Amino acid sequence: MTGSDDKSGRRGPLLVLPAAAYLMIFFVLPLIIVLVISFVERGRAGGVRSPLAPTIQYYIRLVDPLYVGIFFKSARIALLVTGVCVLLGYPLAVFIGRSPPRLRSPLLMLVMIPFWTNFLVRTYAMKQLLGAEGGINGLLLWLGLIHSPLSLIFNEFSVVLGLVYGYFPFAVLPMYASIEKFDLTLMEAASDLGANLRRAFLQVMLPLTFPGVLAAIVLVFVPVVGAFITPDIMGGGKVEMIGTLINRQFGVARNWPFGSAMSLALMVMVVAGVLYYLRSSEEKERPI
Amino acid sequence: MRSEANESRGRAPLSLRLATLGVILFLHVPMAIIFLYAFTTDDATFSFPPPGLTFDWFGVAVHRPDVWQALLLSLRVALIATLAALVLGTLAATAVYRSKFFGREAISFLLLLPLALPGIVSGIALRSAIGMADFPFGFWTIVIGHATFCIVVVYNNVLARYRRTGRSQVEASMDLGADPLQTFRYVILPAIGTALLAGGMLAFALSFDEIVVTTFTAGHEETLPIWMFSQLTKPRQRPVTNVVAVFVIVLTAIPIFLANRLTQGGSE
Repeated sequence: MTGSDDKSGRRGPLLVLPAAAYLMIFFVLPLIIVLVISFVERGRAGGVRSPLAPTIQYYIRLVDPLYVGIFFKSARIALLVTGVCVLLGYPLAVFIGRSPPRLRSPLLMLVMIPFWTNFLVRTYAMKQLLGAEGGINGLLLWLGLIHSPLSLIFNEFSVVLGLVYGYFPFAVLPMYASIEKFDLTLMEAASDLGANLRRAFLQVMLPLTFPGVLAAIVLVFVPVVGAFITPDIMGGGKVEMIGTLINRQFGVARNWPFGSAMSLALMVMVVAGVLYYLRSSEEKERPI
Repeated sequence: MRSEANESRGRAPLSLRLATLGVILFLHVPMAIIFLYAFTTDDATFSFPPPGLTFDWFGVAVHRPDVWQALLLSLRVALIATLAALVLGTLAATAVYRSKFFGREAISFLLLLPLALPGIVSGIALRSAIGMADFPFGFWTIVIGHATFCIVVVYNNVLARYRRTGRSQVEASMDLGADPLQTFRYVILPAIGTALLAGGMLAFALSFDEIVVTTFTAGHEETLPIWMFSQLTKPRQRPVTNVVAVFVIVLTAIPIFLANRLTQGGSE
């Protein structure tokens, strides 16, 4: 169906060369360099020691319980954030999908504006909401409900909240795209055939809108598991994730090889997850 | 037709409406707070309610050269990265659509990879590579990083459009004696025009928004997100950060609003 061979077919593939070359030079080659760096000894002031001294010590260090723990913690936070985004986003997407067209586009806009608004602006907004003199504390103090500010920020909770706030629109939009295509009369058919609402949802609506849910999961999980800006701002240096750890190796710790080894471990984790997602979404789209 | 069918289904259950309201509030209350504190008279701490309201910070922000530098740098980077992505992405989509060749699947995967990997991985990779090549960090290294993940956005949009329009018009144009350039100018370009616009807008927004990769490729330059990040640790003139944030929110909302108005006139 896609692209049949024709006269232009022979020269056609050449058009892909500029983009492919660009990505080979500025994306794949740097990744290969990272791979090499992870296997040689560090230099004193960052970079690597010259002449290159091969070693696998950084991979051995990676399985230290301290770092394994941070990997698990990042995965746990990312799963939690992904779960919250999907659970909050799905009903919202359903609501928008089933509202009359006149109401639908303003509602979509209310989701789109935060989606397009600068990520840092949004994180900053969440920080102001939770901060010691911020929105929630300010309001509660003003109302006299509390007398000293609650410590809402600089803990794992605030990091999770900041990440949910930052990536939530990424979850809503793909789910909305799936739900909008879903024919709601199928739910009526299911209930006519004797299914209760719960069963109709689990056996009809959820399977048919699942590609959108999967896309949402990937779009939230991938950036969140490697996040370092949000943990930095919302965690105040107290919440360690893989991203903050890698960032430190290339900053103050000046340990490029260890940071590289960690990045590769993160990459393997994410690519495995995405491939798993692609495979299961392909199966879903197969007719019958 | 559709709306009738929708309305016949009646209103959404109360729980669904409350959940929607809650989520919409969750999305917008923090942004409302940003707006509020752009007008506060207190320049160091944000107490509630604000002690007074003023427009002064807008004037202060306009006269801060660092704000302008960051904004202009972000706009320039996004513009160049988007242009590069438009050219490279459109060419790649054309190749993949028009011809079967060995490694076509691999090419799609390669294009997607910069968006599919956490930014921190590509960020440190670029930083290491640029450091080794001894290339000075700055404007061009930021652009190089941004273009890697902008290409796929244009590519996806254009490829989807090609698949929807089919190739009969192109064949008709060639049969009628148009040369490839004429066919591109008068047949292909009008067909993919809005896809280019949509892909370009998304690429621009991605670049304008980016902070993770930029952290590692910017050197001493400050894009707007990096400027904002650095302001978070400086208590001086805090409302200025809010003013800039408000400006960014408004700047973002206007094109969405216009695009929304434009598409509403059309079918679907």
